[in-house]
Amino acid sequence: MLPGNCLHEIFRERARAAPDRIAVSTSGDAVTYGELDRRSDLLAGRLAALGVRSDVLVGLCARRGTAAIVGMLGILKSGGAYVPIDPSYPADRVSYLLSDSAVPIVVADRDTAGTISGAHPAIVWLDGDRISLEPGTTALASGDGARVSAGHDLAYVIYTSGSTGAPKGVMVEHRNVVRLFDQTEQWFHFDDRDTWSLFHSISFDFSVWEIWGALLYGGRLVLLPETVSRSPELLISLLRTEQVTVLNQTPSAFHQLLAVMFAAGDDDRDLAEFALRLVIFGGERLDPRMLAPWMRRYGDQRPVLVNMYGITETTVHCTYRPITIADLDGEGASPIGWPVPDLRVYILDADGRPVRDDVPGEMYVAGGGVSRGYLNQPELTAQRFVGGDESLGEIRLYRSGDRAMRRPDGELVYLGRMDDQLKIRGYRIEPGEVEECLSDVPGVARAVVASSDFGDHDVRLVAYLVPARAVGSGQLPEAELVAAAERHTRAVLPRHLRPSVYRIVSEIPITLQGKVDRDALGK
Amino acid sequence: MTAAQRTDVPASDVRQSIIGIVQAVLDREVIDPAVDLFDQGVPSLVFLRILARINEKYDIAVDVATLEEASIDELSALVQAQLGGDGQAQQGGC
Repeated sequence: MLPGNCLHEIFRERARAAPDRIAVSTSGDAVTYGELDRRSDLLAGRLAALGVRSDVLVGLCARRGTAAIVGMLGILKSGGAYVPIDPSYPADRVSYLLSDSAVPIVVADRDTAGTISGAHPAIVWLDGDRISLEPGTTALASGDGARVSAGHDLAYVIYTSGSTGAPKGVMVEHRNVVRLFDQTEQWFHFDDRDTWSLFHSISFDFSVWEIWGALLYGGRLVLLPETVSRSPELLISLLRTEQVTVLNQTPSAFHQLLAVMFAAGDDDRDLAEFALRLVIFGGERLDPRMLAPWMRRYGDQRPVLVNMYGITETTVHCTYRPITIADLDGEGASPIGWPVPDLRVYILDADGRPVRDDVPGEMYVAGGGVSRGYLNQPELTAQRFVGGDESLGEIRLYRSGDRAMRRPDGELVYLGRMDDQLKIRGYRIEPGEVEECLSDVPGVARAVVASSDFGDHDVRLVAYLVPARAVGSGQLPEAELVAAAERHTRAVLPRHLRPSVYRIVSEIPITLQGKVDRDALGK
Repeated sequence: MTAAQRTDVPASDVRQSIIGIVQAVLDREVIDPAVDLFDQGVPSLVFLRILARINEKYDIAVDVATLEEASIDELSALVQAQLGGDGQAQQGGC
């Protein structure tokens, strides 16, 4: 069992036990547990003085650097919960996140001033070792003063794509995360000899697993440069020089790494130079067959390759499935294995009744990972966090929208989505959100997006635009329309929601049920 | 102005052919050479494919680590520099 109920308490225990151990490192910098504890204490003191306490949301605007981790820990130590505000997001998106979350204070790294300065009245700046307040930042009208954090306090609010056009914040508590590590301990045996890489943005919850997997156990967290996702060569080199032991990847990202590692004429890389003991997949469906070149060369024992299914609403991971060489003979089904011990996964039919083995249904998740719900959205929370049929004996289940079936031996197999939601490169994309943005472009009568497979794991978001009639004449109208649409997505949406390809169509195909036929579009 | 930035701007041969490669790999005509490709909806896998084509065409190994911004203009400058310098020595790649 981890020594505490809250993330920062456990971290503090680790810092006291081994203050000189390296907690976080980047290519040019390393910070010890003791130093990280001290710096985050200073920030926590400032935030507490400003009135931050339990369940107060605090924006966190930082690139992938030490400041992000200091900021996160400082916010949690003050009792508050962090809301990541990605400095690379367009101004529109940043202001939406700030207003929807209504964070009274933002903690920001000084180097994000270009994004955040002027966007919020109350900013606590982190500048290396210095902390300063934006002029005019005033204390909150605070209730009770200092208090002890509890496991049921919020730890973070992470936004995910929303089907109605606006992203929604998922509220996750300390205990949701702490129990994830306690419950999976028997499988992974994380400890202070582990080195984790932070590959994912703090705006996505895969980062929660990466950061706390290191810091709750006294391990080292290597902050990879953000450019690593466009350079598998750099990733391979850093995995080797930093001696990373735990690597977390979406199958798409790992596929890029495989393509480089097993490029023609270059297939004799020796894993002996690497310290990898675990590669953990998440974020999207895994077809084990893509791992064939790796497994033929390196086997399935070291590192162990593990597929985990999960959703932000149920705290990163729900299920666990080590992938073995035997899985390479499968037919492309995505085995997701068995639930984390304190979770129950039900496969239910349209009436909410359990289906038989081998029959597809919708996955519902109950247990310690189920989060508090959506921020300021009681109706949506009630739709997705449900009571369920009495016969299940559950008080609260998260309705995943994911299709799956259970094999007679108890194993779960992932089958896809029940609804229109897309998963592209691990990113969760609600078509409605992108379509609403595109339909604001002058000259666009209607817009639909779908994923399209360009071959060999190259899956792209494609926008289909139906032009308004008036735009049918003149020079290069189609190119102008596409250019306008592309510029608009750049101004409004984060990168991962921007379409890659645009097609001008005269009409949108419709299914017999009268719904947009996205499958027909993607062909 | 964006439409005019397609293919009809005067540009060096390298820049012009990189524009062509991006258009072909991305399957999209409209692309702004001055803007980071990642900002214009180019996923990292597509970017790697673009680089592979550039490397193949010029028989070089573009080092993206030195790229400040992944725009066509910056890429063109980098390729030109490598061609003018020790580009040939780096052939084969890693």
